Amino acid sequence: MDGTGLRFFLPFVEAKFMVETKIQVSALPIVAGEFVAGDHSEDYGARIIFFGVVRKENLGRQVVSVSYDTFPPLAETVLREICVEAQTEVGSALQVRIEHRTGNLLVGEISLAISVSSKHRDESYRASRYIIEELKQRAPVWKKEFYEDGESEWLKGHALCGHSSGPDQDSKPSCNSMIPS
Amino acid sequence: MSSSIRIKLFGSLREFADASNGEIVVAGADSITKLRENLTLYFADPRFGAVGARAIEILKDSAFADERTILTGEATVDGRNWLAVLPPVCGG
Repeated sequence: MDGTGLRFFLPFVEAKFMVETKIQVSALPIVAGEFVAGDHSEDYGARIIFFGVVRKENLGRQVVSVSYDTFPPLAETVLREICVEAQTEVGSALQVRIEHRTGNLLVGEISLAISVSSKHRDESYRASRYIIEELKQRAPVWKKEFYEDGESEWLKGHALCGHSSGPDQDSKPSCNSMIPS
Repeated sequence: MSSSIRIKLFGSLREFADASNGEIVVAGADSITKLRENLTLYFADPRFGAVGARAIEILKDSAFADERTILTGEATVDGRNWLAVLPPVCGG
């Protein structure tokens, strides 16, 4: 796991698309109050905040903790791309802040925080939903669950390379067209 | 083409790495497609046994990337000291 505490916090403003982003992929705890108190421009009258939290049960198994592994440089790039796409989707200026945890998290801890601000509520709701859905399918993040019975398991996820299944696979690089049999 | 390349493994593939830094070293290649073949052959070594077979299964659904982008099979490997192999993701 990446328990190094390596911190990526890169303010970024894409003038053409009018989206201001702050992305952090880090082992530092996400504190709800501090996150909420963070940047919010007075240009925006709506703000949606999403927290992903480690829950105590998954597929009938009692979860004790989840360990998050990430590839931080690429994760930061992908998340920034998703933010730009979200702005294109909603068609108005956005201010977005995303923090994603790495390392070991206990049940109840915040693993992900997303703040989206916009002039009006509709854009914030839509952009927030777009970002979390895309993040789950594209950000290079992996999680391993640890259970009460002492077992552990890496969760299945979304391939970053294309297969025949799924509506969005055509645009992805092929996974294994040349794998020897 | 360099004779070998460092491969950084992530997620479930980390458990198949040689070292605590999550890396292995495999034969170099001109393209990602060829590098995928080399990595498959690496895990097919009998010393890995069933563990290697599991790694190969995960590898089939994994992408190659550098720190900026996911790479296609046709992408060249030349000049790179390392690449990342990314199994299916599940963030959030």
